[in-house]
Amino acid sequence: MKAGRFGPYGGRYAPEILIAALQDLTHSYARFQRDAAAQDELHSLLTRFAGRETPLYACRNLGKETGVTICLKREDLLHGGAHKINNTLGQALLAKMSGKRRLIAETGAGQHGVATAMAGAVLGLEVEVFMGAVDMQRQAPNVSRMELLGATVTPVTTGSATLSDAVDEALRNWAGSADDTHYLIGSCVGPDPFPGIVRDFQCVIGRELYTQSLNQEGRLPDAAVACVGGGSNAIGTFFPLLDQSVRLIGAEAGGRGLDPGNHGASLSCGTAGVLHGAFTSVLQDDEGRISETHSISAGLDYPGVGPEHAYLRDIGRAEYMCVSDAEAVAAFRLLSRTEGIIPALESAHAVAAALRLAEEMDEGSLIAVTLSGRGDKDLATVPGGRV
Amino acid sequence: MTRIEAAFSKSDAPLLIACTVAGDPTYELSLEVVRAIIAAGADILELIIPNTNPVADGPVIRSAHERAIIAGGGVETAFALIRTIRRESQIPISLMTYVNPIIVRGEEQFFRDAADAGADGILVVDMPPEEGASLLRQKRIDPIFIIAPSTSPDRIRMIEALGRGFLYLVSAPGVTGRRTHLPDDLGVRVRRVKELSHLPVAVGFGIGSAETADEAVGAGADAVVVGSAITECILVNPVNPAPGVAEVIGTIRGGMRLN
Repeated sequence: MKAGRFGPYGGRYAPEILIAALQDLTHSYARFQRDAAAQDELHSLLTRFAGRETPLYACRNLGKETGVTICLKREDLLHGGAHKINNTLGQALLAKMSGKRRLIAETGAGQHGVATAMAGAVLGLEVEVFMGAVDMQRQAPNVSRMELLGATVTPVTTGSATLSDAVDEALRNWAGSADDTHYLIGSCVGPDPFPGIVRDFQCVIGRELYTQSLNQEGRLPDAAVACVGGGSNAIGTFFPLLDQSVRLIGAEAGGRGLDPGNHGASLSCGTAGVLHGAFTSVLQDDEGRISETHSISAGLDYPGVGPEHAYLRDIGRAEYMCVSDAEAVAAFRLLSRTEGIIPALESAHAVAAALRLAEEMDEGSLIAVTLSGRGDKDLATVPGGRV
Repeated sequence: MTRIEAAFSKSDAPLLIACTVAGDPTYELSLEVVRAIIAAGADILELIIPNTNPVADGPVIRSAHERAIIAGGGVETAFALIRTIRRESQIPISLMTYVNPIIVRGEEQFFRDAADAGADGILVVDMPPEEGASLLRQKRIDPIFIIAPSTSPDRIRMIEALGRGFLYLVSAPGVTGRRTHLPDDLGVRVRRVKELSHLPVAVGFGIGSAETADEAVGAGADAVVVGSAITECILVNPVNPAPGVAEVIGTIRGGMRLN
């Protein structure tokens, strides 16, 4: 496969003004991978600062009626409340070792922004986070957290004022600041080398899952399920399992329905195109204008997806299904009530997909769900209380 | 020889490249803006295909993209605009676009249709030569590439060998938009590119006043690109932008002649 490509997908469709920065990043990442001291420091941060490893928890109640065991890979227990810190600690350390003094990031749900702010604070790097004005409203607690952690949160009001617009703005800022600034992209999207870097840092999820499943359950799961917005927790879950006989299933944002503008299901409903520097599956019209998207979860409200997912879809190695807003909210409530775990709305999509799978799988099957984040941030969207 | 190459070869004075988003604020008014650009004596017209994610553009051009998209603008309306202009004028036309509309239409098809419509050159903002094999195969349309402040000498050599028409040198790091002054090292950078390249060098990003036009020409530019200042005329007078556009072209031309 060509460097930076996943089958036909990926590539480096970036303005010339960013090419030198992307080339530098490619080289510094190669050095970082070979640097034993850097790897040790990352390992130490992941364990002692972020709280790895995370448990693999076999649900006591969820899905019991189907006779299928559902295990949760508890990324929600990480520092910051989501899997995002795996990537931000890695990239922030990489940036620091490359002599950068400042980090910029985009954020949708705010989880990546919070995780970047945490990594910046602990490693002494200045942080500016670009966030859609709409997302700032629906994820207000995360805005406060970022600010408390010392980050500047810059509202983005262009377009639909959500995640995709925040990525645009981060790229624009980077075009003028790459000398001293690292763009800490939050998902396995963007021009090469970002998709591979983010995947590598998130693979800790799948590696732990592999070992824990063998140790605790005596076997690998029959299926691994994760939600897909940009797709970083999913690719981190899937990649270490690619050569195993495990079904890999991504849950996309089905939103309010599958007509254009009402969902974020880039893999199920998209066509081939370039968004944010990579050739991938994109929600767009027949002239390549990117569509508006909708999801109840800000983190899945994105018209593109990591290029490696488009490749895994095409070769049939991973399957992607759509989970509606309503199903996700139902799963959000169900997991809270049955297991005492409040999932992020993003992760609730994966829980809903797992419940659907459990219905059709044989009794005694084992499903692993990556619970990518905790749901406290979503209480303004889905009111708490008894329903 | 394309119209772009001919324009550079027959002029001793630096050229003025006027840039506008096709379909901003509507197709009809955009046509008026283009006619005003041509009537005011711009040497090359650069038409931008409206895009939903213009990541290299500052707030002014970004607003033009948004207006054009809302008005239904896209690839088809940009091509229609070029066809209409071609019936009236032989001005060299360089098309500027982000890569996605090209990918979606099919690369060969897109370039063929652009040439058929009457475009002479094409600059794809986010398709560096490494991703642009299809563009490099084109015979009827000049591939135009950007040189950034961070582009290394080796890379300038690689790009100049593949480009035709002219090289578009970005005046400063960042996105499009007017500046009070161009960076002090612009002259050094223009000279470096000219030492490495046989192509004319156009300087863009940040030029919107007589002063900055003068600075660009003083730095050795073979052409100056004016974009945001033209778009601002549409912002200020969306109903009748043409007179303001003519005035901007006049101002820039005046600045270019100060040298």
